[in-house]
Amino acid sequence: MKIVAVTACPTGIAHTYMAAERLEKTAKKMGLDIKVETQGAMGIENELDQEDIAHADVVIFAADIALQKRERFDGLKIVEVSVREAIKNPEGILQKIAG
Amino acid sequence: MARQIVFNFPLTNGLHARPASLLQEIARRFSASISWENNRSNNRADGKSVLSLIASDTWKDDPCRIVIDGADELEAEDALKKFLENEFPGFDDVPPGSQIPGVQEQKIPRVIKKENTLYFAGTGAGWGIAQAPAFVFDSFHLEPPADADETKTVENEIRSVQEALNNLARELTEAVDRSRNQIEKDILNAHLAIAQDKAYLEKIADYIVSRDYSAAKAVFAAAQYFAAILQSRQSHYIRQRLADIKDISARVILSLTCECRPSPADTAAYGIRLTGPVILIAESILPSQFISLDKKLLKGLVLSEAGTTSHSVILARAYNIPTVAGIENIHKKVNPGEVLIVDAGRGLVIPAPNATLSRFYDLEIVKQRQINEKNAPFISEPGATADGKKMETAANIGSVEELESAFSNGAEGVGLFRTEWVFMNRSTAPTEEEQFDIYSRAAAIAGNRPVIIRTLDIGGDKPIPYLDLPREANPFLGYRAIRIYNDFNELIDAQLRAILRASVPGNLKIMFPMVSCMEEVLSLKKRLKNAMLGLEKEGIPFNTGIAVGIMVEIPSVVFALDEICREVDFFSVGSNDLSQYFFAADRANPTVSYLHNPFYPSFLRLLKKIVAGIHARGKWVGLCGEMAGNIAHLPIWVGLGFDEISLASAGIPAVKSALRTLKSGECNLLVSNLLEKNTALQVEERLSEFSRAPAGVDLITGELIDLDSGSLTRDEAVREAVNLLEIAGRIENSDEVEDLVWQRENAYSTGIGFGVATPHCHSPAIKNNSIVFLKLRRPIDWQSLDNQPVDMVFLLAMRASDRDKEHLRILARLSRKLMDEEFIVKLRSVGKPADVISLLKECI
Repeated sequence: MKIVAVTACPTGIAHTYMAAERLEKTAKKMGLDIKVETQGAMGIENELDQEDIAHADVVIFAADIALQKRERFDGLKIVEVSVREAIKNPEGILQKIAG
Repeated sequence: MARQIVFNFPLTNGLHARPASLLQEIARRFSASISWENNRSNNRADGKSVLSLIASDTWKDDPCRIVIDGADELEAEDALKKFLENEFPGFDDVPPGSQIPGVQEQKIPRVIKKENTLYFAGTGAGWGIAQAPAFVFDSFHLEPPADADETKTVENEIRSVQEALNNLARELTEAVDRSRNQIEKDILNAHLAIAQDKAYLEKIADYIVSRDYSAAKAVFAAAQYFAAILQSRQSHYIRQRLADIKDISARVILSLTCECRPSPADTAAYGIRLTGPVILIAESILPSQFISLDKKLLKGLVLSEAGTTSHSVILARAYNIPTVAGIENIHKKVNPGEVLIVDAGRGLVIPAPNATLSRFYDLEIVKQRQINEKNAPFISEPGATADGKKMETAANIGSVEELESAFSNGAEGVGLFRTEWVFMNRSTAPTEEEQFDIYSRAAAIAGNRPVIIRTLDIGGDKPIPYLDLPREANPFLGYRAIRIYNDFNELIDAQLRAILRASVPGNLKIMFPMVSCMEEVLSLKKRLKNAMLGLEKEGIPFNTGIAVGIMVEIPSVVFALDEICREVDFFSVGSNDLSQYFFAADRANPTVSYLHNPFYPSFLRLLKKIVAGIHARGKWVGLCGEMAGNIAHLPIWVGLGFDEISLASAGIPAVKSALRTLKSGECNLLVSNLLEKNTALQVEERLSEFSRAPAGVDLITGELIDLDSGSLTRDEAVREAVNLLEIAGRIENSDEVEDLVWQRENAYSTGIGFGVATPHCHSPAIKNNSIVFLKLRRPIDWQSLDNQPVDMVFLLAMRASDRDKEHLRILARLSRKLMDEEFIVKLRSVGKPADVISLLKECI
């Protein structure tokens, strides 16, 4: 299964990256393929390109603010969670997706 | 045939004490009767009485008429007209001492709101925090004195009032002579004017004659009469003069009714005798009461009535007493003996503070002490860069009273002693003796340290009645400073003689303002030479080799350095005026203020030419002016090679401390680079790049780490972290940054689990990107994601700027690292701040 995710918190200094880190590490532990884009104070990093999105089975939005370039994901299966949830319980989120 | 002057009153503050007293002095020179009629308020005043003039309730734009009747009416008309036209408009300037830099907008720190504390907000004056028991003083109320015996006669009563007023005037005159504090002197002089006021005595006599009052009762009635008139006046400033009239009346009544005739210094007679450290709470206190209070025991002052321009508040500030004024009925709201906190910087008074508030203010006091301590080592050090290149750091002062505090702030000398205040706000010129006294006091306090005394620098924009300078369309391009000297020989020669006489022993120097050409230099030197010859003839000693310098303010001087350097010993660049004359941009005009910016390459090249030209001829050059005090500009001044910078003394410790972070070679390179830029923006960007802390290294330093934090709550931990930023000089205002952190914290807790919290903010209020690290002695609740208490806190403070990407990247890496339990375990085991820094460096 291939997962893509976008994280974004209000100040974009800390939680955006914490959530990305947690999702990446947990996915790795669970043997899932994930790529996480961060939208923080430095702008968009590790940006998901057309190819990433085309191959994705599911998209996770871990965001407390409106996302940039959201239209890239139109038509895809999307799971929306808060940044807090992504930091606190990444296993739960990923398990639900992986079924 | 009576003469009259018809006009509309021009002063925004109304006809207040200072213009009224000068008007009265002029009126008294003539035998003609002079009356002041206000056609709006329909009041008529005697032009020869200050009180009567103040009481006329004259306000801006009121239609007024002065009627002059008598033998010398033509001369009187002429003198009054001149006064009204030339000097009056300047009286809207704030009097010295009433500009209160400590006054800020009301700012309530978060803890006060959160604790739901009872507090009183007023207007702070001065700085500092005081905590002490309240001493509640029910202010002096004039009590109607008991009627005297029936044997009194009208003549006796009037005579005894006259006698009492004469005695008081004598005491006040002596007090003026004794006083070493200019502000105190001014206030005593204002009291003297009331004690000698014609209308005041007439009103008292009137009550004695027409109502058969005793002397004391008549004084009381007269005081009530004037108080009632002043009370109804629109001007806040005038209403505050009430205290002065009450003060004088109280003292006259006391001397009339009390056999012991207490001296004015005996405050016990007024009911204030301090026996221990206290915060004095009063409706208002009289200036004479303040003067005689024991300042060692007076920790703070809280007044309900007086505003920041009242004489007592001005005095309190001069004595560095934390003061809050303007809290209505405070003397009725505070219990005697109750412990109070006075927070002058924020204008707050907090009665019976709870434990949280006491801890907050204890931390504030500690913070202030740490900031002072941090700068303290530099105070006694000479101003120099890290590689030892000296740049003398001196103070700009306006009165000799500021000298002690300038030296205790680490001034290595006085780079600019403005003598204007010696001449202003008085009706006659200061004598040579008066000036000698002032300059010798400066020389004595300074010892071997240099004191550069700038001679009179004044023009038609400043009201000096005895100079009678004409108003001009362009006062800054006109008849001012040394350009007026040849018309005021006596005045200027008295100043030069006074400086010369005061020059042994000591290290006084003379500096002439607003020189534009060699001819002026020669003429000034000749004048000085003549003053020296005069003293020699009289056998009066002086320093024959006294250093003589000029201000560099007018660009023409820059093209005459060759010849001028042969004639003078030193130069000082007045950056504000130089910029004004160089760019032809009025510095008081906000629409052209964009030109007053040292970043213009043309201005930098001008400064370079000045410093290089003067140094090439072996002479010394300093920089005085507002630009000198800006720490951000310091690398430029070092790179240009100034021998000295002179600034307001409060900024000296910080400048000396910042100098130690610079290397002269790097500053030289920077300046040669800046001189090649094309625009101010390019210069500013290059300077900003130069001043940036290298990425990573400086994000966290030892002083941003507390591995043994005693903070007991989430609030306290945030406050402590923010305080560390302020102590480190990375932010200016803790309250503001604390609020920003809580804005974020309120969205949802930054307790991320594993016992770690990462409060943060992103704002231009942060001067340098920073990480603060606290390890708490006791874990505290942070409403964390995992509901576990927190024992480690990272505060992340970032500037909102594109240039900070590298730091943001580091914070992103740190944030990711904090998701790593292994890292957290390592972090929890560190024992020294240095270990925290190396662990962070290693991992991110």
